[in-house]
This record gives sequence, structure tokens and C-alpha cells, in this order.
Amino acid sequence: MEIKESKLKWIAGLSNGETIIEGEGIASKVKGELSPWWKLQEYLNKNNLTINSFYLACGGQHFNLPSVNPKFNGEKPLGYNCFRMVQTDSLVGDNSKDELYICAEAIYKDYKVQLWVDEKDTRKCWVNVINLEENSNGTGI
Amino acid sequence: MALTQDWKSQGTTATTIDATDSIAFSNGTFGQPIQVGSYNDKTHVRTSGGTDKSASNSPHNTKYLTSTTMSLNGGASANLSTLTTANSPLKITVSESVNITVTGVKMYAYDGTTTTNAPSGMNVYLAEQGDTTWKLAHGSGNALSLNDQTTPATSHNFYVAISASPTSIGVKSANKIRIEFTYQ
Repeated sequence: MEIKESKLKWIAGLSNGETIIEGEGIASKVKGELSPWWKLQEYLNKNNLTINSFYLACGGQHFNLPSVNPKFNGEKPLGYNCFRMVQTDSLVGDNSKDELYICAEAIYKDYKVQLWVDEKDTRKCWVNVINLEENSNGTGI
Repeated sequence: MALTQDWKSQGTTATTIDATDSIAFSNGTFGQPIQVGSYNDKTHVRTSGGTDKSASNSPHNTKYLTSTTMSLNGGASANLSTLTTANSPLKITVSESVNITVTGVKMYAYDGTTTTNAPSGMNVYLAEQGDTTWKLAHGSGNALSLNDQTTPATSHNFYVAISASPTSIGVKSANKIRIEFTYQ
């Protein structure tokens, strides 16, 4: 069973001023290579860079996490993470109950803020705050 | 290529479980019912047309005996932890064209309508290969957690034992197995 290709992309602003877009440039998706996310991590480590801003984009829609210079007097994150989540009734031809989300995380000392967007209906998003001490796996799920 | 997941019933030869197929349990003969309170003596792959797709493949069967033991393919009681990857009834493969990690994998059975509900009229036990105890995986709140696979790869395999027992008379085809996972 094939999960539909994501419509959302993550976009990271780096400490050297570069902007990295999922699926493009150093974060391109090339068969047999690391995924765009792990390519980004490799690039950050190799060049001693950090992420200054992070958001999800779908067409003209932007879903922003707090940056290192946050708008609205927000708190500066220590780091970022991003993953996708699949929930599926694998053995059922009717895939109407399949769910696919992308989650971007802003990580703080004792907690993290999760921004979830529904890949099947990108008008829907949710925000979670996860206490890292109470959630041993840190996923919040 | 987008993300894909592939389910196989392992046996002498593997049987691919396609989207319209189902996993069927029997008392030993395809289509024959399991008595209420008893567990599966055979596992089959059933097509949407009702035929035994795995008839010539001798699928592996794990039968729940106690919380820590099983009968593999009708054999004597054995610790669940002795189940090998090759003998696990289900092999689930998550693949991508690029190297990904797969984490937060959960599996559970539910009534086919509401994911938090238990399956209707049956008990479903699941275990990941290597587990010491069965998990009564009823609804999303009681899901079986599978080990994270944190080394990036284009393909990730998960091996699962499954056993089921009816708690009432009748066909239980509305129930479903759901899998959840994260990847990056």
C-alpha cells in the first residue's frame, strides 16, 4: 500500500543565513540517499550550523514555529525536529480512515511545542505542549 | 517513490496481504470456525472473494497458550520469546526510496468503527518477535508498541505474532488491525 506523497514541506532558516527547503538543494530527495530531514541534520553537523527558524509550508500557507528571535515575545527554542505520522487500517481497501500528519517541534529545556498539520486537509492543524519529564519517549503520542 | 507499507503472511512461502485481503483464523481448516474461548490453529490470507489465498503457502500460526507461551504451527508449548523472525506470522515492511527512520510504531485491533474501542466479539493478542509476553491489543489505548528503528534505511521490517479467540458466536469480519508509526 502506498501512502500519498506529502503536500507539505518543511523550511528551515539556518544560522549562516541559508534557507533549506525540503526536497530541494542539499535537502533534495534522491533515491538511495538519506531522507531530506537526515540530510539536513548531516549538513548542520558537518558545518557546525544551527536552525534559526522553522516552518511548514503548503502553497501559500505557512505554519510557523517560534524562531530564535520569536515574534510576539515568544520563547527561543533550543532546537527543532520534524517527522510524519501514518495511521492506517492496513488491510482494508477502503482507506478513508487512513490519517497522515506532519509534526514540527520546537524543543525547550523541559518541554516541547508540537505543531501538527493534517496532510489530507491542510486547513487543519493542532498545537501540543509536551512535558519531556513526564513523557519518557518524548513523542507525546 | 512515496512511502509504502507491505504486509506478508510468512510461511513456507510468503503470501502478500493486499489491501482488499484479510487475515482469517480457523480451527485448522480454512473457513471452519474456532470455538468460543479457543484460539486459532491456523492462520490464512482470505481474499475479498472468500478464497484461501495462502492455501499453498503453509502460513505460520502462533496460538496463544498463556501470557508468555505459544504453540507454533501446532507444536508443543514454547516461550513466546523463542519465536524467530522467519517463523513470525506477519512481516510488515515500511519502505521509502530514501533512507528513513521509523519510530513510535503501534499496532492494535479495534471494532472497525472507533479506534479506541476493543474488537467486537473476539480477543486479539499481538507480540513483536522477541517479546516475552503477549499484549491484548484492544483499541488505541492498549496498543502493542514495536521497537524503534533508528538507523536510516530504505526498508524497515517488523515481525509480529498474532493470535485470536472468539468471545461469542459469529463471523467477526468488521474488526480491523490498525498500525501507527512516525518516520523522518
